[in-house]
Parts: sequence; C-alpha cells; structure tokens
Amino acid sequence: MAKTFNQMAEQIENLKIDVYEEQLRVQRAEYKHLQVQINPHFYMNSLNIIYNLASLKDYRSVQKLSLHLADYFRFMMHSNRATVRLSDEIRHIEHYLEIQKLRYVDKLEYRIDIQPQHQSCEIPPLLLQPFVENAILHGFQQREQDGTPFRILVASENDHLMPDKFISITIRDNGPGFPADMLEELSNGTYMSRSGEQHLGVWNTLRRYQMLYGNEGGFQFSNAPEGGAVVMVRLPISRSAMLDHPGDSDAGTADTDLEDMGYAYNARG
Amino acid sequence: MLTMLVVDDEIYALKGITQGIEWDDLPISTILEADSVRAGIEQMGRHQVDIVISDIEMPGQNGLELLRWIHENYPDTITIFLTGHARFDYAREALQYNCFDYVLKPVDHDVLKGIIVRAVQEVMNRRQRQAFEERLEMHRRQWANQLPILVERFWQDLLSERIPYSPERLNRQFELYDIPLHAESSVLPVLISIEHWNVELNARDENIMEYAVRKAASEMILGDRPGTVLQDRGDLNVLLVYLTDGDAGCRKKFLERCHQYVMACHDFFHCRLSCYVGEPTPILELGAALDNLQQIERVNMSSMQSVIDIQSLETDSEVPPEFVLPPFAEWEQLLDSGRMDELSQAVTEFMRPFDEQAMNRETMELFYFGFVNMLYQAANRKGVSIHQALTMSDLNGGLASKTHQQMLVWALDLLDKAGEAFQGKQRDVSAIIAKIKSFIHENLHTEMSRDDIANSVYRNPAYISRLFRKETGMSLWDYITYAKIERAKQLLTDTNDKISNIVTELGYTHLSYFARLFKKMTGMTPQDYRKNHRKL
Repeated sequence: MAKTFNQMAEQIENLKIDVYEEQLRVQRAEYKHLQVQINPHFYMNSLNIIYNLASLKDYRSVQKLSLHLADYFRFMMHSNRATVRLSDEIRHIEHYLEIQKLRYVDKLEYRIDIQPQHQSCEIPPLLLQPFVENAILHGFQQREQDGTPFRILVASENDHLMPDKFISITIRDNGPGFPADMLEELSNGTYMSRSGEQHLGVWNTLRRYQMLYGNEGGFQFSNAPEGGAVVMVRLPISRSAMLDHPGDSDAGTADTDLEDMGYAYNARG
Repeated sequence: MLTMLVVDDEIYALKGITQGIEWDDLPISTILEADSVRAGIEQMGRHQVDIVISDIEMPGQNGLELLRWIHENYPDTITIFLTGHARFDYAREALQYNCFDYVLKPVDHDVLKGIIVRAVQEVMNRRQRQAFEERLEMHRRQWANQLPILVERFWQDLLSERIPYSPERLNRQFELYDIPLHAESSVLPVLISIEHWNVELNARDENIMEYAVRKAASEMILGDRPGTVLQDRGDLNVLLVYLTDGDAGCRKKFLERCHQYVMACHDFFHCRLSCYVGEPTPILELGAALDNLQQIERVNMSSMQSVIDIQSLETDSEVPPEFVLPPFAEWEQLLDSGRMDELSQAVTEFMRPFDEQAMNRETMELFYFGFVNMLYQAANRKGVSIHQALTMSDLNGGLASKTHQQMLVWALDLLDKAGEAFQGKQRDVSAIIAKIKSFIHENLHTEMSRDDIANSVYRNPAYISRLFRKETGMSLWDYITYAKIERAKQLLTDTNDKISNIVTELGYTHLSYFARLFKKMTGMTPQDYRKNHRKL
C-alpha cells in the first residue's frame, strides 16, 4: 500500500514536472513569438524609408507605406489568436512585401497564387509569413546583385496524395538557397533540438506547428534545381477547424478580431 | 568644387540624401549615386571623389568592405557611414579605417548636412595644406637650383655697391645664401684678367670660354677652400677666397696655385691670362680693393701671363710709396649727379699735395687715363656724345702735361666742356672705341693682335677687350673680321685686283681660308660677289 502510494506520488511528481516543463516550453515559444513580432530592424528600416520619402516630398508613398504598416502591425497585435483564415495570412504577407517593395522598388518582385477554394482555410497566424521574411533577410541580402530582381512566389495547390485532407503551400525564391548544412539539420531533426537563436522566426514556427499538429503534415525544405530556396508545407484541412484553443485564449475575441480586420480591408478597398 | 558619392541599396534612401537635402549652398559640384558597393567602386574609378556617404547593410558586399577598399585605394577620401544597427563592432571597424563620422539611421538630414559641412571644410583644409606643401617643395627645389646664381648676384650687388649694407643685413644675407662668412670676416680677392685668346672666338664663344676659365679657377685655385668665382657687372672675372676663420693660409702656396692655374689656362683653354692677387680685405671694402686691382691691371703693360701679388708690388720700388690713386669712384658719382663745381673743387683738392712733391710719371699717366676713362664712362651712362664737346686734341692734351699744374688746368678745362656736353643728349661711341676702330681700319693689311690694338690706345689688352665688347656688342675679333670682309667687298667691286692679291692685302695667308670666311659672311664666293656687284 505504502509502496503503491509512493509510486503514485512519484508519478504525480513526474507528471507535475512534465506539465511545468511543457508550460515553460510554451512560454518560451510565446516569448520568442513576441520577439518576432517586434523586429526592431523592420521598424528602423520602415522609419528610414518614411523619413526619406518625406524629404523627397513623395507624400503618396508616405501615405501608402503608413497604411501598409498600420495593417501589418494590426495583424501582429492580434497574432496570439489560435487561427486565422489563409486569406488573412496572405494579405498580411502582401502588406509585408509591399513595405519591402517600397524599400527595394524594382529589385524585388513577388507573385501570390492561392486557389480560391483554399482562401477560407483556417491556419495558425504567422505560419507562412516568417518564411517570406526569411527569404528577404537571407535570400535577398545574400544574393549576388546581377541587375535582375529578386523574386518570391507564394502558391497553394491541392495535395497530390490526399487532396481531401491536406493542401500544399509553397514559398519559393530565386536567391542562393539554403546552406547545405542547414538543409541537413532540417531534414534529420537536429535543427529543432537547437535553441533556435539563429533563425528565430523559422525555429519558432516549426515549434508552434509541432505543438498544434503533431506529426500530421509538416514542412519540407529544399533547394530548387535551378537555384533558390523552396519551403513546402502540407496543411491538414480537417484538423484546422477543430483545433483546440490552447490555454485561456478565447475564441470570442478571435472572431471579433477577424471582423475588425475584415472591416479594415473593406474600408480601404 | 567637390564631388560626393552616396551609396545605398534602397533607392528612396539614396534619393532622399541626394535630392531630399539642399546641397546647393555647399561647394559640391557633382553628386554621384550608387546602389551597391560594386557600383560605388566603379564610380570612384571614373571620378575623383572627395566625400563618400555609404549605408553599411547592403546585399552582396557591405559598406564596411567599401570603407576598407577606400582606405586602401583613396586614403584622402572622406567617408561617412550610415547604419540601422548600433553595433559596437561596426563602429570599431569604421574607426579603424579612418571613417570621418558614423551615424544611425534614420539620420536627421540636418545632422547629416552638418556632418557634410564639416567634411567639406576638412577637404578644403587638406587641399590647402597639400597645395602649400607642394608650393613649399617647389620653392625649395627652385632655391637649391638657383642658389649659385643668387650667390653670384649677391656679390655683384655688393661689389657694385648698389645697395648699402649694414652688418646685420650682411649677416642675414650670408645666412640666407649659406655663405660661411660674417660681416666682420675678410675675403681675399683675385682679379682674373684675360689678356688674349690664342684662338679666334666670337662674342658668344668668348662668354662660354670665360665661364670655363672661371670654373677652372674654382677648381684649381679654390679647391676645397670656401669661396666663389664670379663675373661682376663690369665683366670682371673675380675670385673670392672666404677667410672664414681670418686665416689667409700660406700666401706663397696660394700664389703657387695661381701660377699653376695661369699655366693650365694657357695649355687647356688657349688663353693668356694673369691673376692679380689682392690682400685679405674686410667685406665692405671689397669694392675699393677690386678698383685698386683694376688700376694695377690697367697700367700693367709689361708682365703678361703672370701672377701679380699686390703685396710684393707695394714693397717694390716701381710704385713709389707716395703713389696716390685718385678717388675716381667718388668723382664719378659727382659727375653722374651733375655736381660739376664740387667735382672741380675735389680735383683741385687732389692736386694740392703735389705742390710740395712733384707728381711722378706713373701717377700722371694714371690720373690721365683714369680721368679720361671716367669722362667716357659717365658720357656713356648718360648716352651723350663726348665728341660734341671734346676734340681728340682736347683729350690728348693731358698726355702732353709735364707738371701737375698743367694736368689740373687740362682736367678743369675738360670738365667744363664735358659738363656742357652732358646737358645735351646725343649718342656716340667713346673715343677709345673710335680710336680702336680707326686703328683696325688702318691696319687691315696686317695680322693685328689684341696687344697691337691695346698698345695703340695705351691700354691693357684685357681691359680693351672688355671695353670694346661692352660698347659695341662685338668682340674685337668679330669686328676685325667684319672690317676685313667689308674692305674685301669694296676691293672686289671697285678694282680689278686679283683675288689672291686682295687676300694678301688683307693680311690673310691662305686663300681657301679667306674664301670660306667670305662665303660664311656674305653667302657667296668672292668670285660670285665680284660678278654680281662689279661696277667697272
């Protein structure tokens, strides 16, 4: 009896530790998530562009940039929601890329090609945007300047194997591609065991995905034969609507937020 | 005007700086743009860029690599860096490569302009400093090149006594020209008197040869001793030994070197010359000492090609102790300034001591020639013809004087007449030159030597030669050749004499030599000349 009790107490102890550890991990992930939200360089660069556009008296561009930034930050403020529609995430990516286009003008081109039937899919917020940002930060910055523009493509398609259960979203660029050692680490799983200090956005997104979907679907990283980085994600459709809201975050606010954003788009359009 | 380059990969950031800031009020004429480090390096290869403003974070090569490249290739270019990152290692590296300033983005354009204003100032300062350094270096080189000429000019000024020198001024000049002397130092003067060239020389060649003779004097007589050899304003060749420590050294050895020099000039330069060696003389009395040496040269008609030591002359009985040289230099000044009464008085004063002791022959001659020479020099300086006032018998009258009273009467009479003539303004050549010319024309049939000519006017040959060139611009030899060819032309056209006879009549021994000379002077052979110009 005493032995059984002791065993049980020990089990409870271990469970408690597991729960704490899990909470710590979640907190750390959230913390890093927040860090992603307030990327100071992004702030600085945007302010720099606004300042210079103002000095050039290009008020149209200042207005345009202000609105893109407002939408960008509004999405970030509410990114602790459980899910957003794919179309919202895509619009967020568009704001981000438009802001970058004001910096780089004709040195940057992008195309977004989302199937109409995929627009309403529910996905965790900021699941895709970090990979676009990663393409700009690494792909664009390290690319040899040869006079041709840097290109980013974001496209969705039905999953080839299980079109009912998954959709495939591809983010592709014409930069130098992933370094070989990073690809190696991403494929054998060692990448995730690291602290994630170097590629905060990517690490954090993969972590959150794992927490939400477990081993269903997932990310694939590769370099295209003609060069450039390719990120492909297989998203489970059926699961997305049934996701539990983790912790104390409530679905109610998420709905209002969505409405707010929809209103914002309508007002602008 | 300056050139500025702005490097930023973001087009609006680039334009914001190049176009969004008022640059017109700064001395910047060209503003270049580059959207990458590579484009920036290309721009710097095409233009001379003074100031570079560059972003640090750029795709491909970053701004710090540009900074390093500029530091290695254009270290004078001023660099200013912009960055969104307040990173210590950036700042440190920027500092290490001599970055002028380092600013965080977004940069206040007023602040950036303030930095550029400072940078422009810095470029201007550097340019000024560089221009100054270059000018200084140029002057240094010029100075070093011209020092020998300047030293010669300094001595020429001093010897001609054009400028009054205070000891302080003299010391300053010695220091300036790197001459190892003080105002109180003494100098040993040597007059190098070229008496005769054993070869025919025209005026230009003679100048060159005289230069060679002076160079040789510097090497042979001076050797390692400090000193200089120069030609003064009256074409005198003068050697000066600087007696820096007051020690004149062994005079006997010095005279020996002079003697070797005289011999060497004979052997190597076909030149007959004499050295008149003076005494150690304080610098401010050098002019007078040289005048004295010249007086000795003028009356020396016996010992040619020799070394004449003024010290041994004075102990010789040839020149009596009571020998007094008239102060011609002072008299010349009175004459030049037209103070004829004062001059007459001075001449009378000079003659007075001879009431008690009769004037000897040498002094009489010295006085006579010196006096006539003084009048001619003065007339020449004034550009006046003395022959308007004085006849040849007027001038020769002094020679006939037996006593100093007669000489004085003659001199005062001459002064009266010259004084009148100096009021007018007519040009002529001096009597001596006229006399030399007439002597030459009368003696074209002979092989005249410079000694013959000098004897005809009772002058030293070296002095005559200098005088003639100064007055006429031709050397004696050029003039003689000219006169002979003129006579030949005349004989060719006016007579039927055989050319060989004409040649002999002109004192030439070789027909072919004459023919060559004639062709050189007239452009045709004697035969052609006769054909073309014959009158009979």
